[in-house]
Amino acid sequence: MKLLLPFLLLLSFALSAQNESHAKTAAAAIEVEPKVIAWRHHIHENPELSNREFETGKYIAAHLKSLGMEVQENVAHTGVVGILKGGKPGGVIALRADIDALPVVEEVELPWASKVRTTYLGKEVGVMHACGHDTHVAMLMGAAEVLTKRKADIEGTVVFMFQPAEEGAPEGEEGGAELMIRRAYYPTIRSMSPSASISTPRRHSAR
Amino acid sequence: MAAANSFEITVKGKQAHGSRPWTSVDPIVAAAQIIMGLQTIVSRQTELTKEAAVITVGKIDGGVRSNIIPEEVTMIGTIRTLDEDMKAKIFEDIERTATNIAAASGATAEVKINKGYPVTYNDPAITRLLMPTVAATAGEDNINLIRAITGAEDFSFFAQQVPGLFIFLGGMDPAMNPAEVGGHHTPTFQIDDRSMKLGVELYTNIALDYLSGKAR
Repeated sequence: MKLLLPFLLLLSFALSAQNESHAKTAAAAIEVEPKVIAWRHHIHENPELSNREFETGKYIAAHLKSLGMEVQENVAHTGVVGILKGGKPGGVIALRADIDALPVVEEVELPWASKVRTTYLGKEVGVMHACGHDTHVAMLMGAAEVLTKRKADIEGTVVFMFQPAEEGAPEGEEGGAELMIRRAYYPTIRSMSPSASISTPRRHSAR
Repeated sequence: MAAANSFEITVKGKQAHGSRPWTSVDPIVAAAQIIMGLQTIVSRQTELTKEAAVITVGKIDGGVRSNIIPEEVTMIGTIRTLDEDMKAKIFEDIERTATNIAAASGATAEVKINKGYPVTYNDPAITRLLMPTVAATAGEDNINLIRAITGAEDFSFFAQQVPGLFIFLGGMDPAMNPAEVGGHHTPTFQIDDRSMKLGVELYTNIALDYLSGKAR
């Protein structure tokens, strides 16, 4: 019983610390929500195809820079990597969002619906965020803002990876996560924390 | 989520007048036999109790008019697998099936398999570690552990380098009918703005809890 009690106290302390941390997050998320929605509408209205996310990349980079974090641009063509070093030492975790849109003509009636047209494989096409990547970008931009405000609480480093071309690079081009790994993970992130999970590359196959 | 690989099969025969098939090696008939042969790979040669697998021929192209037996037929398709060993075996099975069926009629088949996306697989240890955080953030009742799906994701490349966790976040307006809303990649696809707040919280709590060790 003597041994168990401190353990229980410790456990309840850990749990309440987590509750407190989550409550802080919830409050910060409410605060940032209007911005997240505005960013989402902007990105939705201005969609760009795989490996052509030039303006989307600039938009994301401008936000991350405004938060004061280290930013790498034009990673794997149009990708953006933000590195947020926390107030305490520790491991590394990467959060990823894909940023590209699709050659689809939007038919949803919204004030911020996409009217963008472009040429794809020689055909005139619409461009639309028809796979939700606009929301992925906005949510990760929101998390970047919340985590920056809580920088002192972070025990280690958070890497924000905004990845282009998830839907597949155009014929004859490289792109997507595979290129992002070569351009961002191997040169920068892998060496950041030798003891963290992110720096222990390993292959596994699903059973 | 499944690994996605595309394949391309080129069947070469010998061109002839459509009225004299015996002077040809007909790649159209050989291609038809190959397509039927491919069906037995999943149904007869793949251990489906392990995982599901799909082989779909999506396009077939050959010939110019009714009375010419063409020289060549090409077909392309997609392979979806959920297991690396099964994937490798299916690649071999497709090669063997196509080349040998073609050879039976004196034609040749060349099989090209294009590198696609690997299996997207949530690392069990990381998933166990972070599920309490996800459940505490989203609410225990809102968590669904789903079965494997045959769609694919290039997040899998990251998850080959480091243990990965991939989450689907529901984004439909609850007032809408799931049977009527536009699916992904369609012109009427839409996501409710209100769903994003939870995404911000999930990203944030996962990062903080993982790094602080509170998730452990």
